[in-house]
Amino acid sequence: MAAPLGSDFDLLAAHTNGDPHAFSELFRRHRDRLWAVALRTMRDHDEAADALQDAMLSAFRSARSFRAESQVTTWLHRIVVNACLDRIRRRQARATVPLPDSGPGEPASGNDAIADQDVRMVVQDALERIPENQRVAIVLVDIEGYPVSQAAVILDVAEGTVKSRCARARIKLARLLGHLRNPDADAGVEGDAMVTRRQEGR
Amino acid sequence: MSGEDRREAAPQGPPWSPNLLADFQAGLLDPETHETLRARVDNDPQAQEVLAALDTTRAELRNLPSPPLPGEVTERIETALRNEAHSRTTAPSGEQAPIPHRAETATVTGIGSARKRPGGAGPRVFGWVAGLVATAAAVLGAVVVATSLPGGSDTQPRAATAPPETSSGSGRTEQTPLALRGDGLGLNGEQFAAVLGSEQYTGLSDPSRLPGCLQANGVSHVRPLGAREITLNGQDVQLLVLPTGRAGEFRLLAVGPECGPGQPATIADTVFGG
Repeated sequence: MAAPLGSDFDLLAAHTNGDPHAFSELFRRHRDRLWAVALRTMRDHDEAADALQDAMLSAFRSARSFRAESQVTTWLHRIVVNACLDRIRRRQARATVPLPDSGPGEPASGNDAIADQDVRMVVQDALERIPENQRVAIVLVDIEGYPVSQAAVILDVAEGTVKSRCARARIKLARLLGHLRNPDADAGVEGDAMVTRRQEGR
Repeated sequence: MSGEDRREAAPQGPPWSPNLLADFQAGLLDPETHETLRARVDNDPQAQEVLAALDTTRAELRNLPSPPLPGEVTERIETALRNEAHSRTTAPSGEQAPIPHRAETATVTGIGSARKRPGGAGPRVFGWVAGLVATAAAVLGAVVVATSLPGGSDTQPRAATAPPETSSGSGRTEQTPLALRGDGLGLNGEQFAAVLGSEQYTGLSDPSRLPGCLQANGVSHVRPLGAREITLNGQDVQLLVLPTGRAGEFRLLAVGPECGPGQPATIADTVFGG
């Protein structure tokens, strides 16, 4: 039986007091949601795994810097997002990495309708085509369901900035996905090809 | 703040730009502008079409499945964290948390004394003791600690007569009874490693009792590194291994089954290693 240390804060405090198991338990508690954010942000399984590992080691080492005014989960997500953005910037500085044809490590499900899978892949591809700061905001707010206020803390920006990035991203995604058919001249996104793919059922 | 701040200017339209409608939907407009625009877009089919497109987009985003972290990635990261914990345990540290308190009656016997003890086995790190446990045993070397029972006058270490932990050969620890006899509590390296790798809270299984028991013994925000129910001179005792904040040094706290909030029930409290 695991020792009954209840809150995330308790675990973090135990970790800073030398408990070698506490941080792993904290990781296990939140790993799926942290992974989802990393995977959506990176759009590459291996890169997301590397970013998540970097982030967890960074959090492990810097736990003493945690300040109780934010939630532990918010702090962890912030470290994960920063690790992802660092990797994206390094990747962009190196070269263009070809995207995999399939989705970002989604488990294959024989029960999913082909049409549903197609929509998901098109949505995932569309996410890749918007600027990274907008993508992270959309991942946190629209996909993972975080309140704007918490996303703002994670991203270390004002709430208005999160709303604005989400609004810009939704417009671009709506065009990429073919829901918005009269793109403005300032859209600057490559909507036609994706709309065609969507209409063709890919 | 940048151009991403909320809009203040009165909207012009129809037609309304998609960007303005996206700002409207995102709650980015100031309340007055928002209400003004709401009244006007409600009866504007073109604006409603744009808002519906944004709603559909959000719905598709919400419906994306969230894949769980793959097992191999979980394992990789947990291994990295264990290695990090391992290096933290063995690295010299001057800034870790201080030990909560030490038992005044604790006696630490050095390596020379330990080797003279009858049956005092040297440190053998079993193959089933992985990661931290192996490290801890290696750091400990042949150090053996003993402490007197409360109220006792004999602080000389006595040989622990309990059988050491056995290895099943399959990589699993057999939770064989750990029985100690003598005036003091003494653990050899093998026994210590067995307790360190165990999570047996038989006497403190109620989640509310362990924190209360620890607090009664002056410990807070610390989770035991290991726990094992043992017998000491035939008496059931809960033995807990606690971090001291010093590399290779651990606190051994033995409490009676009645330990709980306000009831320390301390039987032995000493430091092991260091």
